[in-house]
Amino acid sequence: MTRTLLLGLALLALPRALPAQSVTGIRNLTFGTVIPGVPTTVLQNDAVRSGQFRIAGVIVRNVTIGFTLPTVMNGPLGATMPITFLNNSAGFTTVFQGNTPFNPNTPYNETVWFNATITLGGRVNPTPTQRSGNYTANIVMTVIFL
Amino acid sequence: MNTASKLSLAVLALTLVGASAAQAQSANITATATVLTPLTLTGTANLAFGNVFPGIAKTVAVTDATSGRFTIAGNPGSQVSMTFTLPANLTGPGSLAIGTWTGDHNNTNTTGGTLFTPSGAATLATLDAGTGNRFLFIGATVTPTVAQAAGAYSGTITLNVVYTGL
Repeated sequence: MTRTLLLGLALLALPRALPAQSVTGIRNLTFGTVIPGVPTTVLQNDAVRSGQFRIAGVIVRNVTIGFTLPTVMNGPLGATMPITFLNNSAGFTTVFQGNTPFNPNTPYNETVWFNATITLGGRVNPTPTQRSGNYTANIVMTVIFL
Repeated sequence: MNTASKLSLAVLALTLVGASAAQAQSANITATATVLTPLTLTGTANLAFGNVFPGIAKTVAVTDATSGRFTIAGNPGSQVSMTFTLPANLTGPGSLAIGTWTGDHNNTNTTGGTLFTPSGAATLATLDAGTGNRFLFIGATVTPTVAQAAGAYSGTITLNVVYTGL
């Protein structure tokens, strides 16, 4: 009886030993220097320039991953620069599976074991007369834990 | 089922139910990019040979006052690739051969910079780190025949410049 009770207590204790489940933005999506008139692409598996999120504190959960993606980046004096995301511009990686590309434009269902890394690439399309300067845009990833 | 087993199942059920409640969490990152200054290319002086005598070749050197000149303006310190579309002949009352192209590019508006041979092949240059300018001087040689028809001759020299991304 004592052994069974200990098992029950262990099950209760397991979730509490893990950190709270969380979704965190780890790294910005960085296009770097962009030449007017020349599209620039960052691949989702670019180890330096791709954007990166992390899902952590999960044992095993089915999740739906969705993005709120910009269509333009905002620059100096109200200038904008188009930004697009292709159907393989996102990647899902866990310790149990390699990098799986997916389409960030539509909700994506996966199973997270303990934690997962989501990477994001994209493409900017500056016009030949694109105003010079720094451009930024906000990217939101929402994870629904099912 | 004894009391301890029931307690264990209850704990397990409570744990699983607690874990399966649907909820959403969001996080943000920022996309960033820096757009370079667009390139501006200006032809500032024609390559002028002046009067040419039939049968006597004439050369305009890059250091001559009548050399052809271009000015490139862009992002300070960036590298550009320059290519030329050059005529093989000037046209006029007849055809006047032109060739032996010479070039000089410099960060200041004087010769004495980097010598190069203008052609369709890429020549790399770095825009001035302060002003973003690069100045080009072009020379060539015309070779009129002994029977070259008298009159005015001209041809178009086209310079194409693009950023290399460096």
